[in-house]
Amino acid sequence: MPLSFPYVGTFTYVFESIARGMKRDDIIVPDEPTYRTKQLGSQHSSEFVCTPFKMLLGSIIEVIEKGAYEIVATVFVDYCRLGYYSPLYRIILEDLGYDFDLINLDWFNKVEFFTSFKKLACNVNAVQAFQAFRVGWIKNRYIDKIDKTLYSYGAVEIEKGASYKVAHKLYRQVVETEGMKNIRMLPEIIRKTFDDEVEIDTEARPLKVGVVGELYAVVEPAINLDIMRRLNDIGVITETPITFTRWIDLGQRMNPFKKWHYKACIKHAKPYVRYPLGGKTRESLGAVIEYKEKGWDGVIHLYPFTCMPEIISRSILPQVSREHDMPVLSLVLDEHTGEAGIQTRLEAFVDLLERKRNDGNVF
Amino acid sequence: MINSKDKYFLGVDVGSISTNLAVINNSKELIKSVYIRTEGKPVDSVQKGIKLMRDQLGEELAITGAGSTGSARKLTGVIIGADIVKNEITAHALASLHYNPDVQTVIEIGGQDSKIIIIRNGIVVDFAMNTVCAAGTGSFLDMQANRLEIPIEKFGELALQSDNAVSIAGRCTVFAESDMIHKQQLGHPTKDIVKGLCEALGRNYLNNVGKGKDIRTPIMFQGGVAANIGMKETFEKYLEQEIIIPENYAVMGAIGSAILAQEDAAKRPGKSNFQSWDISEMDFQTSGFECDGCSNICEIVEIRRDDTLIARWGSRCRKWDLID
Repeated sequence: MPLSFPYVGTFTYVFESIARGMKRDDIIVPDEPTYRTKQLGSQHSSEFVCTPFKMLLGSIIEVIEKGAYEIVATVFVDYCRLGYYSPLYRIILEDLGYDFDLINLDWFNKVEFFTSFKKLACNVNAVQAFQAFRVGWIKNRYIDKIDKTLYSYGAVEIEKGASYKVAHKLYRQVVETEGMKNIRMLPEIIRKTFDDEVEIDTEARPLKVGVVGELYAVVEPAINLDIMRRLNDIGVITETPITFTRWIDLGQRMNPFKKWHYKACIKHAKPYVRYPLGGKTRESLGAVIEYKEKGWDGVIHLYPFTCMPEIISRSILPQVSREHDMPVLSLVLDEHTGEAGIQTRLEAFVDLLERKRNDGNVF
Repeated sequence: MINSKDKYFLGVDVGSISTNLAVINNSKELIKSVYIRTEGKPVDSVQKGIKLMRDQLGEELAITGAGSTGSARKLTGVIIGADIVKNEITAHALASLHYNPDVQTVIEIGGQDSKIIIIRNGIVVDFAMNTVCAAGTGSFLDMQANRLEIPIEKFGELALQSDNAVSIAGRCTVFAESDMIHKQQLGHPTKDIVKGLCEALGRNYLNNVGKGKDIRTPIMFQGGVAANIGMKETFEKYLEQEIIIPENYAVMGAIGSAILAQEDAAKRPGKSNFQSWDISEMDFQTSGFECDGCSNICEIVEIRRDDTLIARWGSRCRKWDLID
């Protein structure tokens, strides 16, 4: 039965790797969400549901149209509405009359998790399935590495767009590399390819801005109107601490000495919010302090319209920003494609950071 | 005021409702300004604005630097040949600082955007813009003035005549409008409704755009809506502070853009890219098509000057982009 999954930023490559590792040769790789995806999603969702829900639904409908039957639903363990979305997807898709099987990987329901997982891994035995998963989380580290390198090289590249070309080539290479020995070579290949193929301006003194907020809003360029690239284009180095590593990378999770960025952030956020409020509330707040301590220039906070947890962060962020003298820009994202508004805010924010760094001297 | 030895800088601010132009001299004094309506045709209004400016100046003044700002800044930049294309927040902040170097808060309400800019020691430290809704901006006031058949210029005066504002929901323009109609049908006098509307918009601005911001004096209020004296009074009432409205409140964006052009000219070795004062006689054509390369169906815009393609943009994958 053809297997597929909704598109979620560069995590899609990891998913593809895992499915391939489980010897599923019937996978249908989702396309990047487009305007049509948004339209499809909002057409079939209730009005006030958050944008990630709509986009993911649109992406699921698109893969079903491409012929997929088994669909892995995204499971979010962050205690927000998104966690309950998969049953809702099932109802909506059934109402639309599609023929499909939604595979729900819910870590909190261990029995369901393993039965679902077994369905996915029907072509391999348990050891091979685990091995495929392991390869997946290791590849995830390298996908993250490409993202991170891309978002810093992109800001200082001389030929605009060069690092994006290199990155896309490398993503494919990571997905297609097989054999642990070859996979272990990847970090070196990534570093070298960027070094060799992207010419950078070594004189530049780029600003550094961290991007935090709701998971989907941060990792999916289609919803955030490619904010990372926009920042790169105006010469700003950026990164996001929000990746899938913290959930799927069991290797790092079992390492007691691993310093997790999000744990540090949650600790920083303690004076403001002492208990989990869902989503990335505490992490978004703490990240402001964490980036300040790292010597970065500012933080951009992204959240989808009607996202409940991030609305809380949005209200506390001005206080954190003031108390730690760290500029923060909160941006609400929705279906709109009018890019002028976002561009204006980003440019003004970068102007502000530049003036702040130079004490108001130079423009 | 015009002196052949002085240098002159042009700033053009094309927003959703109005197009403003300003020419300043080397000491940042405003020589002449033009304020006209955009009426949904930014290219035409820039051409018209340039023509009016030329007529007002009475001569073809040599321009040392030109800047563009506002939501149509990119398009305007291509048409006038701007040396610097900058966002309106920076432009407004610079203009306010020029008028009052001590200013700490700038309230700017334009056609579709409302913003607050927080300044400390002459540096912008924070800003915010309206988020997902244009409630409380100029275009809504404009629409309501039209509906009530009051010239927008008289809106503020009318509000001042009332001493009994009716309560109107300012959260959303749809709610506000239905509240207004309801109050109207109950027989409340128009002046009370108008005052109620001003107060609702002021409250909405402070709760939405100004949320969590440290608003300190001196506070400057600018943008097209600053013409509405009723709004000024509302802000004074809620903030319990004096509100300064600069003399050229409506063209502050253009002044800021001209100041930016001046700063840029000081750094730039070459000549200005400024087209010439004949822009109004040139023939600009904008045309669009939908790219069918993928399902994004991007709307590509092409700008032609006298049949030569000068710019093209709008594709998400950037394959059509052509600027400079």
